[in-house]
Amino acid sequence: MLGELMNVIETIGLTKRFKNISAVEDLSLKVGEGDLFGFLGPNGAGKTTTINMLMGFIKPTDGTAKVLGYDVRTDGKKAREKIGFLPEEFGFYDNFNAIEHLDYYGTLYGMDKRERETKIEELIKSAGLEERQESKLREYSHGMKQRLGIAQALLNDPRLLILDEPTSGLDPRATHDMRELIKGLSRRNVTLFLSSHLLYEVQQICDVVGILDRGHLIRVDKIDNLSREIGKDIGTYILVTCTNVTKEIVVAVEKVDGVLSVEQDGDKLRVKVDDVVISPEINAAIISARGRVKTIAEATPDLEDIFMRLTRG
Amino acid sequence: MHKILAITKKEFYEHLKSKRLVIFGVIFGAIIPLTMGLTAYYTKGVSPNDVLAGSHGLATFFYVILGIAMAYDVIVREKKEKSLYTLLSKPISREEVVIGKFLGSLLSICAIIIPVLIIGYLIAIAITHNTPSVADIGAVSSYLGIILLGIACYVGLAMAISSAVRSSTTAILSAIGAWFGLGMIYSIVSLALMPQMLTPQVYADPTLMQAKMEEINSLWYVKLAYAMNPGGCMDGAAYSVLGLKSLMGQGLRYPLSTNSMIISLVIFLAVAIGITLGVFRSKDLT
Repeated sequence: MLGELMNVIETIGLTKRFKNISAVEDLSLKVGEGDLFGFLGPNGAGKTTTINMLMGFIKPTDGTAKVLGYDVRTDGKKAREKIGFLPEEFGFYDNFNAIEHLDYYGTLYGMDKRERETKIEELIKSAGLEERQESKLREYSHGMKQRLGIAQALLNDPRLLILDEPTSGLDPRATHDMRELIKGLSRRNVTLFLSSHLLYEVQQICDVVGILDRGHLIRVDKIDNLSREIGKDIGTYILVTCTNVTKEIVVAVEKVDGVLSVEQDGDKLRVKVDDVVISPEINAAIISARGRVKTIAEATPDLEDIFMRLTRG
Repeated sequence: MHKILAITKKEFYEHLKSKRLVIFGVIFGAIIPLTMGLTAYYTKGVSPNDVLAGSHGLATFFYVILGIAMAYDVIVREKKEKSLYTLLSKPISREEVVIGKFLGSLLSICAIIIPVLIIGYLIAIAITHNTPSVADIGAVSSYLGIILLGIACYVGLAMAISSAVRSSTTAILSAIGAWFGLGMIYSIVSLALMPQMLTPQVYADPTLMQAKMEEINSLWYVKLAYAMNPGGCMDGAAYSVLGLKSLMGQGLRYPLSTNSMIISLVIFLAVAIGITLGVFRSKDLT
């Protein structure tokens, strides 16, 4: 069955209402095999509720959801055999150490003793927990627990890895380490479903994003496509960094044919243009005004621009 | 099946490491053998089985408390501490989780109760110099089976509550409330009938009094009220297999036969586990 799969996740009209509050409304989403999918949305957008429905933790009010080809309402157990999951908030058994934890979960995946031992050793090493593998979990930092969380999600060599806000609550160092760990996972030929409200994180890791706002899926596309589209919408910019930006330089750039406006920010110039093809003229204008160009490049909208554009209002 | 065993094993070891099992285990392990030893020493001509029956009244308190204490938070704690999300993300059903947790809790109680009772029984044999017969050993085995069934009912009751509530405090208070509540049903029904059936003449004549009480106990709804209390059924069946056939030492027969009391315990357990499964399956994990 898995061999025929086109969509690892497929929801049609998925809806969840808590009493009168609609958490997710009519969500139709497809995530293809091998995608590195970023599930974006502000806090309270319905990302975790969607994931909870995909995992079978909560029942949809309406609609259907299939994961790895299995209906999550009726065959969720089969789907979970090939899902690795890191919840946003998760707890461990404080009396257990890392090995005992992974061994317990490994048993639940039906792995035999030798298989568990080999896998646990590998995962503890990749999570950088070798030195603390015998320590009780109550002695672990949040970052260590999070890395163990990733390790338990990889026990079954998942085809689909669902990570819900994996860097939530981590300090900058631990966030960086976690991001590197996730980037490494993306090379494992696994479909990644990364839910986050951190745009930089998603931009670093994912190639496709779905943007959820107030329970509604407002866009799904490749980041490049969205970037181009939003770029057209908000205009084309050229970013120039030069030494000693003077008034003469700004005036010289403004006079170039095709330049619509120039904004100065220290040594940087943000030049709104008709078309990026006028970059050489801008370069020449700066040189003629006795400036020195350090870098000149087209400014493509980043995920933050896209996100703000799509979720505004 | 291996998944249920894995959950059972994990629950069992977690309970064994828990303070509450250690505390109750130490108290139970100290009090029961001591009580049995003193009973054997100060009561002339009794058998070890009589000593065991004599200590049951005190021991039954521990049976119920242990059943509730080991199970009241097995589900609600995992919900609150969020470990249930990780657990249920594995390919297991909620039924397997409930059964595994139930067996793990019950086994951890057995690990305390059975050795302590065996030690107490051996002390009773040593002090009374009365070697039990095969029939006596059979009765003690039946006794152990009945109390384990009774404890299983309280574990099931506590788990049903644990699956339905949102905090451990609510769970423990509700479980204790249910314990008392179920225990009071029979007394309330019997007491409600007494003014109608017990006249001053009846009070004056002990034989007539007993006959009237037997009459009350023979009513179907009185039997039902008795059957709904696992504590009463456990006590009644346990005393019966040890040779004490009367209710509360008053020469009054139990409203139910020993077999009916055992069947009532089995039904109670099935209902409690059924409720736990139903609630745990139907509720969203939020």
